[in-house]
Amino acid sequence: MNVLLAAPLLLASTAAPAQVATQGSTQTGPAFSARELRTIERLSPLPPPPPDPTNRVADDPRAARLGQFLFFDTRLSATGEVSCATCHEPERGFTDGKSLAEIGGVRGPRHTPTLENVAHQRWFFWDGRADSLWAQALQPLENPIEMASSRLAVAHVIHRDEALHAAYEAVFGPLPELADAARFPAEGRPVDDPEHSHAVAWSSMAEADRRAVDSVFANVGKAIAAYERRLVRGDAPFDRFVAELRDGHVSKQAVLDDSAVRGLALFVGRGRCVLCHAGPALSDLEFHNTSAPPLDGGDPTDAGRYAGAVLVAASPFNAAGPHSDEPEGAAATRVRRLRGTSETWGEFKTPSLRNLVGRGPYMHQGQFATLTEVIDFYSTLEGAAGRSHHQERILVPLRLDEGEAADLLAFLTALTGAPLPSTLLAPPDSPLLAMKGNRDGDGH
Amino acid sequence: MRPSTRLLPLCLAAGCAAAAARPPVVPEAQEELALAPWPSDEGVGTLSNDGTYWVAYVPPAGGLPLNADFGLVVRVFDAETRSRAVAGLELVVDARMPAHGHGMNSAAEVTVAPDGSFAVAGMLLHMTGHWELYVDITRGPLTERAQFDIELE
Amino acid sequence: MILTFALVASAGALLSGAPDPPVREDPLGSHVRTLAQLHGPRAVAIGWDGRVVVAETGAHRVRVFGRDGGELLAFGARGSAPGELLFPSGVAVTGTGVLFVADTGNHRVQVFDAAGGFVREWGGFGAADGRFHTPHGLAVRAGQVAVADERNGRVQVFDHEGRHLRSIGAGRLARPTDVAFDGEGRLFVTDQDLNRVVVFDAAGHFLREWGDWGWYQGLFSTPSGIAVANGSVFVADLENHRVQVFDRAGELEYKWGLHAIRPREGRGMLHYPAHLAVSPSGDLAALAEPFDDRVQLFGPRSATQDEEDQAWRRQGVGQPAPHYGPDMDAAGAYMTIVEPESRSILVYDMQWTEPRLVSRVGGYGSAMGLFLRPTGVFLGVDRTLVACDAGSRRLQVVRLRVDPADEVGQDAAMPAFVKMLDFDRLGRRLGAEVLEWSIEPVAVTRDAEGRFFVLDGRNERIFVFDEKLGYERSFGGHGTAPGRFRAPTGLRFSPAGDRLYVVDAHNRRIQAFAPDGTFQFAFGADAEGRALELPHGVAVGADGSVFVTDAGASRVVKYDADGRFRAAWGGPGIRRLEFQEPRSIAVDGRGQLIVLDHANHRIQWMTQAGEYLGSAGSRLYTKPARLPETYDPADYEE
Repeated sequence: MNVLLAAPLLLASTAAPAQVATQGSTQTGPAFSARELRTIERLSPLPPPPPDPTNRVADDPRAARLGQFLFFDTRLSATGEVSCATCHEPERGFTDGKSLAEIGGVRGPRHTPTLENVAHQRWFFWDGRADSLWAQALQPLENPIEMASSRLAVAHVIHRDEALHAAYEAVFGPLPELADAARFPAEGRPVDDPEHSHAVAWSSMAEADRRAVDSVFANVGKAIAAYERRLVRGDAPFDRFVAELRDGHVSKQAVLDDSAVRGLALFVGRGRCVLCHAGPALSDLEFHNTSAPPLDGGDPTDAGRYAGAVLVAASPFNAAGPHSDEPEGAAATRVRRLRGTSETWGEFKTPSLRNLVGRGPYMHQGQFATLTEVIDFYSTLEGAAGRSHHQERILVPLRLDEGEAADLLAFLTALTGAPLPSTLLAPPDSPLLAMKGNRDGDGH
Repeated sequence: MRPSTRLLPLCLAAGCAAAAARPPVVPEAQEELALAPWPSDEGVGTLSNDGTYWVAYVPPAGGLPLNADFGLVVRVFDAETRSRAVAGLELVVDARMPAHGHGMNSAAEVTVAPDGSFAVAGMLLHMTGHWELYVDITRGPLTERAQFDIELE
Repeated sequence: MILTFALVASAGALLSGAPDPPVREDPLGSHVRTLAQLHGPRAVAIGWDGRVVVAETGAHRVRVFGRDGGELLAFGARGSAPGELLFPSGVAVTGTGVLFVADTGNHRVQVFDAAGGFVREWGGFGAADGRFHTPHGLAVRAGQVAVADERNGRVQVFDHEGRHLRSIGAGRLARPTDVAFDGEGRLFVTDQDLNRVVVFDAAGHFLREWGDWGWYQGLFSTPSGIAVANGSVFVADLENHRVQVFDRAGELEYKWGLHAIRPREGRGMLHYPAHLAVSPSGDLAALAEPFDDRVQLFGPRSATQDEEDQAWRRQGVGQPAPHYGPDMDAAGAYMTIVEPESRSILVYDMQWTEPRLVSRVGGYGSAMGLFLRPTGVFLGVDRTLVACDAGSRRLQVVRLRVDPADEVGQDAAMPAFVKMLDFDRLGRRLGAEVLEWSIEPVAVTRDAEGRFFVLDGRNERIFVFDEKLGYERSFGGHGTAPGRFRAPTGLRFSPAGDRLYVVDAHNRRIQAFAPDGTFQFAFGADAEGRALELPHGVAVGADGSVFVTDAGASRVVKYDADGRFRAAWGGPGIRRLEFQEPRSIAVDGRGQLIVLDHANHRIQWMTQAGEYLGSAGSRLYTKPARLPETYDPADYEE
């Protein structure tokens, strides 16, 4: 993984290519060069999610329990009908099967991303406008077309419900005196439009009280993030394949069929998919412009990363801000020094390729209903939008034949991991984690 | 871009045809700093692209990582002896992939240590392939580049 | 600050599902008429009665056309006397037909009555309030005249008598080229180097700005014209070949314009719209396209326009060709040429029948190794490239790590940036005694000892640096006397290094200096005594012959080493040895003359006697030069 060479890179391998055995006989699939093998080995296994020092309760089971409860709690929305789970449906891979997120008949601008393995990401949302999982959780709560609530309302929900109140204080310490309606209006948040009722309420508060509510709000995000960190799905057939490669051990049954192995060869070879879909998440965690055509046709109108970079840098909930538990750490430096040149216009986050099956549609507007359509797009670049004189230098049409496209699909299918425990897919009975053992059997 | 509103000196306004010569600007004397000589077995060194400086950087243990934050220590010396630190420098450290036409997504942060070496934080090489690491050394109006080739796998 | 850009639309609004951007019920975008065969028009205005006023820049004239396209009035001739004009590039017209003209080459504003009679002038070259350096677009409203004072980096506002009211934007604007008032007296300014629209209130305080460099919506590439009408802000987005229309807060309403593909295409297709005007009622837009010598008029978007645009798009574009910029140099086996759209310099291997692209130097950005607006290049035989960047006010020295004996191939890692000179920092050291303005490098050359001679288009001086880029001296200055310049554009040494030839464009001459800056002589007339129209580039052959491109007359002129006219060839057109705004010129390693035929998107190369050898560039523009007998002129006409 760590290579520093002064000499030009050697493309040819010097080691004998590895071969995959199947059913006791030597498979005649593609041979991988030593370099390809090193690349493949870096795609697996999926390690535990990296620590998030900006969230001091990221791995606290009590916070995770509270967060899981809140994730399904529709009281956090203005209508009382929407929760995180409304769009991030657990049975649908924590997405919603639609092109664009939609609540109450109002479509959002982008596709709902999955939350499986989300804690492996570095930036959140398609445009990276949040730099931590806990900061991401806050935005839908206050988004008028999502949960349409406000941080004051959320704080009041926590405060008024006995169990939530207790669960919150057990993790984060005392809540502010939210019962004082004069100091803490029922609803309110900072809004650009100063005449918005939320803005009026917010600006009527004392500065110290506003900060206190912001802290509660941030903590809500941190609890939800603690739950989401547990949504880890690795251990795919591909991972078992790589484990065998690594050990040199040959099993009696082929872990990957020939087609998938050919697909893997394309993935790390001629297809160059691994340039962006790198690492155990099969995402480089950064942003690229694939020239994917907008859902409704026409010229691209979504600025993507260009807009997201401004937002994350300005957010009071970013890693360098007052609510971060490590405001001088690497994530803080990264967001403080973020570059926002206009070349990032139209760039979107590289999604992870794990667990894609049945989780369409795909891409930032769900433009492609099936994985086959996605592969066809990369194969032909037909309909590629906004390229002008200035073409993305990494992307060229792959010109795959039918067999190759099927092989790539087979490989992507082999990235499907073990299902999540059912205890993580439903709201728990209580936001409070019992001190000894627990009734939900989620294994603490 | 920020025009002065002062009047031109009389000589020029009167239209002298002769060259308005000025003595060359004298470079500042180079101070010596308490920087240990470059340990020849540590890190990677190169002459800057116009031969003015010897620039060395010490990578993190284990080498330059792919797609993970890392820091470097950079030292700038005179080219002749490779042992005297040079004062009055500003450094910018960056990296770019020439084939892709892009650089790093966040800018690295450079701070000067008391001994005159430069601590670089926030480096992130997010893709495999050929990178060029740049150490751009500014003194007065001039900047000179030292660069290193990096093949990242 | 790392994030130095502004957004078009509030990103938060986009994501929270705020109402869609304002949709105009009455968008413009369908071609109505073309005013053709104008000479390099760089500015337009539309009067209350629909009359279209055009600054016919290359002819030093103002022409007024009626709503039906017929000419009503024409006035102006080349010169500096009152009423005479020198490359005017701004016009505005009041409700009573009074005309304000930015007389750019004379650095002044002139006022004419509705019959074209001279009324008054004010200004003159300088940095003080009331003086100008390259005044460009202007706008009138309610007794005030706002002038984009381009190279002074500001906008000045006067009353109609020329009394200075205020200066706006100094320190904030980089290269303002046009201004427009809205109904409340706010000023909207296009800045070509910031690639933004900058808005000031009626008292001159900064209000907001929007835009950034790029080709997506809301981004600009050298925005060069602005108009406010009917509550909308119209921006001529030059290198994106389109008009973008915003509300006054900067939210995009719509855009129109498809990039013309065929030479001189017109018929509503856009090709470098350098300026625009919109009628006060918002129902007519005029776009000036100086490369194509025309103004195209657009009215309301017809119901079938979308269909027509789709059908046109389906023609297919093919592989996009580079658009060559104003400057180029050749030495040994290589040619380096500016590609303005990408803010980079292309490197070609010239040893073959066709030039072969081997690398690209730079790209857009403000860090070392990148460019904001590359203007001049010099290529040494040792393959050291020197590039000036007028956008960031820097000079960069690049080593091209290539060997002509190597197998030819593209190598992105070929350029190694060696050194960079920051002229702003240098300027602070040199002080105001040497420099009235910050240096804007437009061209560069080197002598045999490796010294750098940098031509500054703002102070109109030549700055000399030693081979380590240490400042030595400077000479020149603005003016018409020998040794002074007006809009100098290029410079090259004789092979012996004993003479420096400098193109003194607005003075219509080439000046020859000794290397120490002593003026020796000047020349420029041809055998008939005809002076150069608008010389741009200069190259020197091995025998000392001096070759000059005349962008105004679209030809190449050859002189001997002492400035005696020897030959001229060319003329406006698209066939071989015809040019449209030829800019840079160079002698390559084989002694061939290469001409950057700017508005024809190609280079042509020829012998030093003017015999055609070849051309390369955009396919449709190159074809006529290659097949002069078989091309059909009708293909390239209106």
